Amino acid sequence: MSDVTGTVVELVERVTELPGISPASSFHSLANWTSLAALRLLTDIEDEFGVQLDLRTYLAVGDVGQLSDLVSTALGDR
Amino acid sequence: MTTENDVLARVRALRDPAAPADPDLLADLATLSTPKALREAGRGLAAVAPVRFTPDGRTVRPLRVAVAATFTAENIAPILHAELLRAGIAPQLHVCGFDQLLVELSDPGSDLAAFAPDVTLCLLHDGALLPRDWDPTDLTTLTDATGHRLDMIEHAVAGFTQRTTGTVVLHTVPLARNQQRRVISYGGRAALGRAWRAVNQHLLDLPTRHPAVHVLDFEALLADHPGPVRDDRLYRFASMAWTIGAEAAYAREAAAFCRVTAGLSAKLAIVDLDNTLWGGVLGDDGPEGIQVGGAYPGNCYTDLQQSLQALRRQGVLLAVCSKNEQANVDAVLAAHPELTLRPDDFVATVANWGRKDHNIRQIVQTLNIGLDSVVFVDDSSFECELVAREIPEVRVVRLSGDPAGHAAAVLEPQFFGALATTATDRERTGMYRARADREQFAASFVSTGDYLAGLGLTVTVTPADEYTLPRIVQLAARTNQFNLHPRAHGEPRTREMAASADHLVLGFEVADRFGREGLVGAAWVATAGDRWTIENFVLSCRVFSRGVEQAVLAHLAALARGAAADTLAADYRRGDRNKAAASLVETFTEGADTDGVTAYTLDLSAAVPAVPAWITLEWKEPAHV
Repeated sequence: MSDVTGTVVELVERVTELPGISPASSFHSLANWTSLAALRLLTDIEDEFGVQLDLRTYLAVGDVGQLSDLVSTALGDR
Repeated sequence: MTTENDVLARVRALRDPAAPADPDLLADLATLSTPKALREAGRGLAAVAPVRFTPDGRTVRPLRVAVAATFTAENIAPILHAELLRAGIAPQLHVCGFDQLLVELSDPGSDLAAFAPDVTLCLLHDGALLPRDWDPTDLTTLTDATGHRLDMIEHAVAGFTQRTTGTVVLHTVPLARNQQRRVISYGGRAALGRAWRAVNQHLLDLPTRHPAVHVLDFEALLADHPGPVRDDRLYRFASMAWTIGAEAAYAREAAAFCRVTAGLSAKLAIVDLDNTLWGGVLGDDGPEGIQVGGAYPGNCYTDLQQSLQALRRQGVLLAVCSKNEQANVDAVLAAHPELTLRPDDFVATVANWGRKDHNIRQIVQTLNIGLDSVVFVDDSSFECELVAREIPEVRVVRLSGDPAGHAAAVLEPQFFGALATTATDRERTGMYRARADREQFAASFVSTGDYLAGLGLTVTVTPADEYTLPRIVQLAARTNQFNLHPRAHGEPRTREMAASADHLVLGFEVADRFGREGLVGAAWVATAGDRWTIENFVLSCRVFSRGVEQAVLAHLAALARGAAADTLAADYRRGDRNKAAASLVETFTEGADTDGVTAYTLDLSAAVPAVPAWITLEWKEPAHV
C-alpha cells in the first residue's frame, strides 16, 4: 500500500469508526456512511494532504482505492 | 503532533468498555489544538462515562445543551462535546434537524421542548435572514425583509423562554463575502454594511428585552479567525454554513458560556509578581529596575495589570502569591509610580519563600471559596507544574514567551465570565480584604516529597574557570536576596581567590526535567587549616526552595572532611534583603556577632549534612583554557 493509500485508509477508519478498511472497501457498503460522514472525510483528507478536491469528482468515487488515486492526482497537480 | 495523537489514541482506547480508566485524560484534553482533533475526541468520548476519564474525587458538571440551527449543524456536536468536557461540563447534547430552528422553538410539543435544555444554542447564518434574490439597488426592501425574519426569530425565542427555564443563546452573524461583493459600488457596499450591522444590532439588543436570552458577538470574534468561515462546496451541497474552523471558534465561546451557566466561573485570580505582573526580579533588580509602564516591554505588563484591574472591577478577586520579601513587595505595590494595581486591589498579598501550593490553599481557605474557582497565573514552569499537580482543581495559566501575549492568556474566555455584573461586584474586593487582613501567611519552606523527586533535579558543581568566572561575578553583583554578604566579591577578588591554593570558588548549575537553568549560584570558601569558612554564597531566586543550597553544602562539607578539616563555618552579614540565605545555615550553630557579621559553625566531626534525596549531585572538572 502506498503512503497515500495508507493514510486514506486510516482517515476512513477514523471517520467511519470501522476497523479493517482496505482499498477495495466500497463506501456505500459501509455502515455509518452518510453524506455528513462523507463531508467530514473530505475536510479531513483536504486538511491532511493540503489539497482541494472537486466535490463532484469526490462524490463520484466508489471505493477507498479510487479515493486514494484521486488524492494522488491532486497531489501531482499541485 | 505526537502529544495530540497520543491523546487521541487514549480516547480510542477508552471506547473499549473493558479498558482501564484514564483519570488524567480530562486534563490532557487541553493539549488538543486542532479542530479536527477536538472533533475526533468529542466523537470518541460522547459514549464514554465521564467517570472513566476524570480524576478521583473530581466530577464534571452535567448540563443539557441543545443546538438549533438554520443550517446543517450536526458536525458541530462532537466539537462542542469536547469543548464542554474541557470546560468541566458533562453535556447531554441534543441537535435539532436541518433548518428546524423556528419550528422547534415555536412548537410547545417539539423534541427540543421535550428535551428541556439548560442552554439552547441557536445557530444562524446569513442565508436565513437575507432574501434569496435581494436587489443591490434596493436595500430598503432588504432591510424590511431581514427585519421581518428577525422579528420571527425573536418571537419564537421569546415564546420558548417563557415556556422553559433554560437560557437561549444567539449570536451575531457574519455576512458571506460573495453576498457582500454582489454590490459593486463602494457607496452601496457601505450602505449594505450599515444594513447588516443593523441586523446584528437587533440581535445584540435581544437580551435587553428578554432576560433569559444572551448573545455571543460571533462576528467580532471572527475578525481574529485565521481561516474561511464558509466552504461554498459544503454550503451548496449540504447547507453547511460553517467550516470546521468556524465551528470550533463558536464551540469554544459557547462552552465558555455554558461554564458560566453551570456556575463554574473562576472567582479569584492568584498572580505571581516577578516576570508576571512586572518584568524582572524585584529582589535582584530593585524597585527601580523592574519593567512596568513606559515603552515595550514594560507596557505589556501594564496591559496585564489593567486587564486584571478590569476583572477586579467586575467582581473577580485578585491575590498575590510571590517568592519575595513581604516588605519589599508591600513597598513597591504602595509606591512604585508605574503600577496600575495597588495594595487595595488585592484581597491578599502573600510574599514568602514557601511552597506556592500551600500559600494558595491558605488564601483560599481564608476567603472561604472553592479551589475550583481559582485561576493561578505564573511564568515559572516549576511553580505551574507544582500547583497543577498538588491542586488539580486550580486552573493554571503559565505565562510564557513574549509578554505582549500575557494579558490575552489571562483573558481567555474559559476562565472568567458572568451572565451579568452588578454594582456590588465593584465592592467585592473590599468585603473579602477584611477576612484576609487578619491572616498570617506562613507556608512551609522547602518543597519536599514526591513532587521534587519527580523533577529529576541535578546539581553540577564545578570550580570557577575561565568560562564560568564571568557569570559567577555577574551573579554575585546581581543577587540581592540569597547571599551571605551583599556584593562583597567583585571580579578582582574572585579571580584572586580562584587562583589561590587556600581558597575555593565554586559555581553550580541546576537542571531538571523542564531543562537547564544554567549557572544559578556560587560559593567563595577559605580552605586554609582545619576550619573551612564560606565567605559568601549566592543563589538565584529562580531555584529557591528546592534544596539546592543543601546539596552544595553537603558537597562542601565532604570536601572539607576530605581535607581533614573539622569545622565548616559561614560568615553571614544579615540585612533586610538577604534573609533568604538563612536557609543555608539553618543547621549551623549561631556564634558571635562582629560588626554585623555573624559567624555560624558546623561541627564536621559530629555529622555531615546529606545531599537531599531528590537531588543528584555531580562534579565537573574545571576547563583549562
